[in-house]
Amino acid sequence: MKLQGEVAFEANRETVWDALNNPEVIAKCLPGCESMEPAGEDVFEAVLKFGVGPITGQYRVTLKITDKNPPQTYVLQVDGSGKPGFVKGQGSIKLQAQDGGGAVLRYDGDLQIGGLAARIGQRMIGTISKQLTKQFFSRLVEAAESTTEDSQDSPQIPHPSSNFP
Amino acid sequence: MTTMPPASKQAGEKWVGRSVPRREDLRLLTGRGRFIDDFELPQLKHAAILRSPYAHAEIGEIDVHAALELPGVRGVLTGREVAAMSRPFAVGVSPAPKYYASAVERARFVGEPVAVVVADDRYIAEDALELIEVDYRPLPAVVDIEAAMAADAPQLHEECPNNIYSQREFVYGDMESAKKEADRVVTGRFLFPKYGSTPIETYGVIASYDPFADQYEIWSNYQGPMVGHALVAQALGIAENRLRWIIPTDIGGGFGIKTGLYPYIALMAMASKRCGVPVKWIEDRQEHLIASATGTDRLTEMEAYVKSDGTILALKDRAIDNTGGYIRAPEPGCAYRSIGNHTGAYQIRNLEREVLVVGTNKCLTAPNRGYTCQHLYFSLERMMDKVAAELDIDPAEIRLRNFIAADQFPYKTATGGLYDSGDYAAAFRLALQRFDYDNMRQWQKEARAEGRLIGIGLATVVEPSVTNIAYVGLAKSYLERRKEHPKSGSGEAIMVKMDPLGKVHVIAATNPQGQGHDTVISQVVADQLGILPDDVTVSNVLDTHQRLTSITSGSYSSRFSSAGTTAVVLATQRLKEKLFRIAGHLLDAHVESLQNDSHKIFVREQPQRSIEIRHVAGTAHWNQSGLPEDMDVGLYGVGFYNMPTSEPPTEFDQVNSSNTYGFIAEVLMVEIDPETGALQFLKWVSAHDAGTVINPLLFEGQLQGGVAHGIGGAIFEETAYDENGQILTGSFMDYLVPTSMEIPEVDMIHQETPSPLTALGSKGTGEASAMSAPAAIANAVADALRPLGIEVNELPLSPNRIWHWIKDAQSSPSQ
Repeated sequence: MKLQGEVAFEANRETVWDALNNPEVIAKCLPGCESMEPAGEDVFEAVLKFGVGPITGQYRVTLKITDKNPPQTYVLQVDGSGKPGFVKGQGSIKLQAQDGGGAVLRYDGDLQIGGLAARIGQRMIGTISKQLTKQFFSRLVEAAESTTEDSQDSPQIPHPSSNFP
Repeated sequence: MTTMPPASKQAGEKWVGRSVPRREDLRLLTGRGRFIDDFELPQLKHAAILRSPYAHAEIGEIDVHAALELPGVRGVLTGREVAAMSRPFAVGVSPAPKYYASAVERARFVGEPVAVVVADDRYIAEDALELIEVDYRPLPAVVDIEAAMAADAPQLHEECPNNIYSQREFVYGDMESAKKEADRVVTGRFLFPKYGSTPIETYGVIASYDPFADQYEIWSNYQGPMVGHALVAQALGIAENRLRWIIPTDIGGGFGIKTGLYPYIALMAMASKRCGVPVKWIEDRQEHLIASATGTDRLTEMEAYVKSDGTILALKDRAIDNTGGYIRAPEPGCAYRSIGNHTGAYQIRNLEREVLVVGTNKCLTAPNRGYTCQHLYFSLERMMDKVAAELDIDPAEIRLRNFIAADQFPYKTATGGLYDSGDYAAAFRLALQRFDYDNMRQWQKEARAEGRLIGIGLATVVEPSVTNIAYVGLAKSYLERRKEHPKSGSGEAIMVKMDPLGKVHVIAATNPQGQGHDTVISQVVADQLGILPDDVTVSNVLDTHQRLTSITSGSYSSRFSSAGTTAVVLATQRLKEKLFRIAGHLLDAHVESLQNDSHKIFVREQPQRSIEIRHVAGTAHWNQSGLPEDMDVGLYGVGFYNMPTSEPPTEFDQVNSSNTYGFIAEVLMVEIDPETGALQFLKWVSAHDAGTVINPLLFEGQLQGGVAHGIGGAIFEETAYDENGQILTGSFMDYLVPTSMEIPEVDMIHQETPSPLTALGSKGTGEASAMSAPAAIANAVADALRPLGIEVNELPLSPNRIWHWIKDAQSSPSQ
């Protein structure tokens, strides 16, 4: 399925770019992220937990950042599987500085979900994927802005792993 | 308690033709049916199947260590072990892609078996599946029929370039002259979806391997034909007499889907052998929806060469079927099964036809109720309406002008079908009359003027029954066929025996799946012997070691009411001959002079010279030396009936693919809500001619079921995939089947034109409107949407699809 959208940040482009490249921030923003460990340059192994309809479970996912062009674009590749099935996808992220400060992020991705979750949760997959994507970016907005306000503290984001349909 | 009505019939009145209530119902309705899951064997263990989540993937290492360590697990069988323990299943195409009971190096559809766990119970087995680690390397998938044949398409099997499993071209008649003589050519392109009939009872297998006798005992709700038994024996590399196969009396629906079950039988046989225990596996509903079998999807392109008066001189068509990740027997039957009746109810003498069967990353196919006749008639009957529209002739009239006439029967079609009997025009006129066709057309005009979307749909089709297995031979050319042993046949076996007190027991292996065979058998035997149905008991179990069976045994292609009942009559007549010979011996009378009533046998001219039937039967059992000298002891008759019209294909590819041919006329009216796209039935008349109706109650049951499946295929059902081969319809949330609320009342008309080929004049009617309703409903929807300039060339006609058509039509500039 296609995942596309636009997110506005009050934080400037460089701050957002840093957040997008900070594994700790990403781990906290990723819905259902139970752990995330580096596994090479710009490669991370994460354990995500989420549910599609009645099918809930853990996925071991590899996140890989490629085609980096700081502080404007990168491509994120996602590949993983778990008992409920598999996820596979890739998406581009484009950051644009706004005239009055702040930045706009455009994402454009294609996600495949297979296995039990796809077969049983078919009606919900689209909605849930979009919802999870929105959650990720709204948390990223918070994270980037809290970094701007107080660059000493790590972002104050509630751990999200139980927060799912 | 008796299930039979009181014997209120008049002397001489027959049981055949009466609505005798089903003797099976009390058992089934009180939960006393015995289905596959009700059976147990000593030490029985339970299996669960690990299935591929990918539509197309290389399979690397399968790590089963953790699964084997789970307490209660008895063993694991992987695809590589399956390949070592068995051969690929034989199938009627060459070269044949390798198809084993499990994926071996590569999975080719979502849900394909990858490994089997055997454990003390199903719960443990399912838990153990989660402990198996499979190294999948995903490959690109293809799901679309035309995309599968493209040069850059992912290749499923190296043996089958361009993913083509079977391809043939046929020409019948004189196409050149027909094309010259034609005034117009009308074309169409039709897409028929993939769907299955979802029997209420899913598959099940119990397999037990005896290492000392090197024999397998199998229990399964397999539907037949017993070709499956031969295929499994061959795959396991054993003689067929080492594979005992038992099919319980009660099966919760089959609809052809359960003919596709035999690979699981081989899989569980190997699991039992590998793990050293008897194994039971019952398919769950999700497994059924993603990986059991559906009918094929089909793309058809058709041209009709017509005269201005509406006469159809010739058809040219190209049909592409899709049997999924592999091709499994009886496929490629999908492309050839209906060849004998390809020109339907019409006198079309010339046909040019190309068929292709391709592979995609979808689940496999099996004969779904109607076995592609619904596909054929969807395109043929849509074409009839297109021709009618093109020539501005009423769609009812165009059919009447092209029908085979009543005095032309038996009628040999251009493709070799031998239609045994019929009067199509009479049955169709009855339906039109009951529908009040002319007035309804007038009313439709008025309603249209008010802006209502009202459509009238017709379909007039031939219903073939009793497969002649010869048809599969058409997948190969005459020259290829000539190198092989010829195949043909449709045989059915029945034994009837009489006990010492004159009561009758029938030993059958007709393998019913809810059709009420035992009730019908009791009616037929009662008539033949002049006794009451209640005096007849039936044991109907297909057991390859204990019953008379043949390759064609089983219940499929509506064979029972034709072939089955004829075998019952033959067997009963043989029993009766013997009974009369003994009676003649005891009465010192000629056999020809004897007659019987329900109690005694007597000399026709001297009724006082009589003997009670039970005394004749008693003699045969209790006083065997009292029999005529040259007579074997035992009081029984065996009937083994093969249709005389079941012959191998000719060198010109003509084949009588079925044996008895009925007729169906659908006349129905729908209204479409332009705001929602929802379809409502306003009126439906369905006329059927299946020869003699043996039991009107059962007959109507079959017709109602056919209507429901036809509506399912027309409006609701589709086994849908996304472009990556992920199945989207894995539960009844997404795979929609009609419920009783969606089935309208259908006004049924029975016309009876007896078949000359069967003892009772009966024909099959089990497919019924499942093959004609999709065409008729599509024609009705097309008629309703014609004012908007919308064509209907695909199914299912879901509200969503119709709504989009309406919106597109309304927003297009021409409107």
